[in-house]
Amino acid sequence: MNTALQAINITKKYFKDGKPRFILRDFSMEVQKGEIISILGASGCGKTTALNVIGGFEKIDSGQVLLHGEKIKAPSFSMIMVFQDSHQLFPWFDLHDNIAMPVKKRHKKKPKAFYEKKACDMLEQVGLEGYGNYYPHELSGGMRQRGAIARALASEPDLILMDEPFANVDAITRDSLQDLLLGIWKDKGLTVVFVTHDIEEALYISDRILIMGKESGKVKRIAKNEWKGLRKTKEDYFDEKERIKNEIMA
Amino acid sequence: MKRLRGLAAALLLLALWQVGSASGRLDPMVFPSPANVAESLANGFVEGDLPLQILFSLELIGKGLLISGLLAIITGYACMEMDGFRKIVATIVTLIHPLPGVALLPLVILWVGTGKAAIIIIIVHGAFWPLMQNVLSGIASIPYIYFKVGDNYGFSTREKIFRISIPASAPFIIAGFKIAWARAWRALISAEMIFGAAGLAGGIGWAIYKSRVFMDIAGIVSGLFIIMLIGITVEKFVFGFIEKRTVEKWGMAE
Repeated sequence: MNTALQAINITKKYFKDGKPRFILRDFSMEVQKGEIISILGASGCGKTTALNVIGGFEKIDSGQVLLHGEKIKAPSFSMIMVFQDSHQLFPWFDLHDNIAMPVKKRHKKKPKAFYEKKACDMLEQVGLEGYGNYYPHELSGGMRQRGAIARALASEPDLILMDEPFANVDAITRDSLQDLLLGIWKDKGLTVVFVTHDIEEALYISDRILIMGKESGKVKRIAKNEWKGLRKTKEDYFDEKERIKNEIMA
Repeated sequence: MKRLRGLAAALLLLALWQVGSASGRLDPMVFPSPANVAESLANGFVEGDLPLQILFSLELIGKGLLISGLLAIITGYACMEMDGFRKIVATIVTLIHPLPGVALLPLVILWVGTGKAAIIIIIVHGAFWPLMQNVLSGIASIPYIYFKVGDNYGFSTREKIFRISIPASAPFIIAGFKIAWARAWRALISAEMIFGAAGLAGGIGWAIYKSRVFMDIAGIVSGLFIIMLIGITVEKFVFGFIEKRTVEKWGMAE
C-alpha cells in the first residue's frame, strides 16, 4: 500500500488553572492512498482538532504531519476540508460559481470552457445537475453538502478531510449522502479522512476506523472495518457496535 | 401593492393640502398651495437655476460619499488586519459620531475657508462615521468559516477582501451607505445655508435660503420637495436596485 499521510506523535495542549490539558496526546495515524478512514469519538474527544491539525488549520505543540513525506504547515489545495456547517458555500456565488472557483484558481491559464465543463461534471457527479444557477440559500441542507463535496472534488485534492459533514441533515438524506460518498469513492478512488461521532456511519463508510477515547485526545485503537457498504447485515455487527461504543465512552 | 398604497397615501396628502389651500384655511403667505409650488418648480427648471443647483448639490454629495466610502473600506481593511487598530477606530467613531457637523464649521472655516472643500469636509464628517460604524459591525458579523474556506483554497489578501469580506458584510455596508446618504444631505444643506453660494449657482440649500430673503414661500417649499424627491428616488431605485442584485439575491437581506 501507498501511504498518503502520516501524523506522528502530535500533541496539542492548553493551560487551565496552571495545569496542562491535552486536546491531543501522542496522536499518530497513517492514511493509505485510496482508503476512507474515520476518526470516531464522542464530542470533546479531540477528533475535530485532529482533523484541523492534519489540514494545517491549527498549530501544534509537538509532532508533525507529513503528506507524501512533506511537512504540512498551512492549509492548501492538497487537502480540502468539507465542513459540517451548511454555510460553507459562499452565499454570494451561485452553485456553479462556487464549484468553478477552485478550478479557476488551480488552472489559471485554462480557457473558460475548461472550468465551466469541470463545474458541470462535478455537479452531475453529486447529483445536482440543473442546479448550477441556484444560490446556496435556495438549496436544502443536504443539497448544500452535496455542493460542498462537489467543490472539494473540483479542487482535485490528494486528500479530502470531512468534519461530520452529514451531521446536520435528516436520517434519510444522511443515508443518501453516505451512499454518494461511497459511490464517488468507487468511481474515482478518493482518499478520505472522515470525522464522525456516529458509530453506524463509521461502520458503513470506512475501510478503517480510528477510535478515540473520551480523555486526553488519545488514540484507543485503529480497527480494520468489515462492514463497509453494508448496513446491519451480519449478526456480529451489533457486537462490534457495542464494543466500539464502550471504547468511546471509557 | 405596497407601492400602490404608498402612492395612494401621497395622493391623499396632496388632496388634503389642496383642499386646505382652496378653502382659504392655509394662508398662502404661510404655506403655499400645491399649484404655487408646482409653478415655482416649473419656473425654476425652465428659467431659473434649479437644474444647476441640483447638480451642484449632487456633485458635492457624490464626492463626499465617494471619499467616505473609500476611507471606510481602507480603514475597515486595516481594522481586520490589526485588532488594536480596530479598537482605536471604534473608540474614535463613538466619540466623534455624535458631534454635529455645524459645530465643526468654525474649525473647518479656519482650515480651508468657505469653499466647496469646506462643504465636502462637513459632508464626509456626516457620512463617514455612521458608515464606519456599520462597516465595523459588518466585519464582526462575518462567519469565520468563510476565511477558513478561503485559506483552504489559497485566497490571496486581495481575494479575501473582495471575495469574502466585502460580500459577506454587504448587508451592513449597504445599510451604512443608506444612513450616510441621508446624513450627507443634512450636512450639505446646513453647510450651504451658512456658506452661501460657494460656486457659481450654489446648491439646493442655498436656493432655499435665498428664497427666504425674497419671501418666496413657494420657492422654499419646492426646494424641500426636490430634496424629498431625490431622497426617495435614490432610496427606491439606486439602493433598491443594488439590494435586489446583491443581498436579496444571495438570501442575506435582513
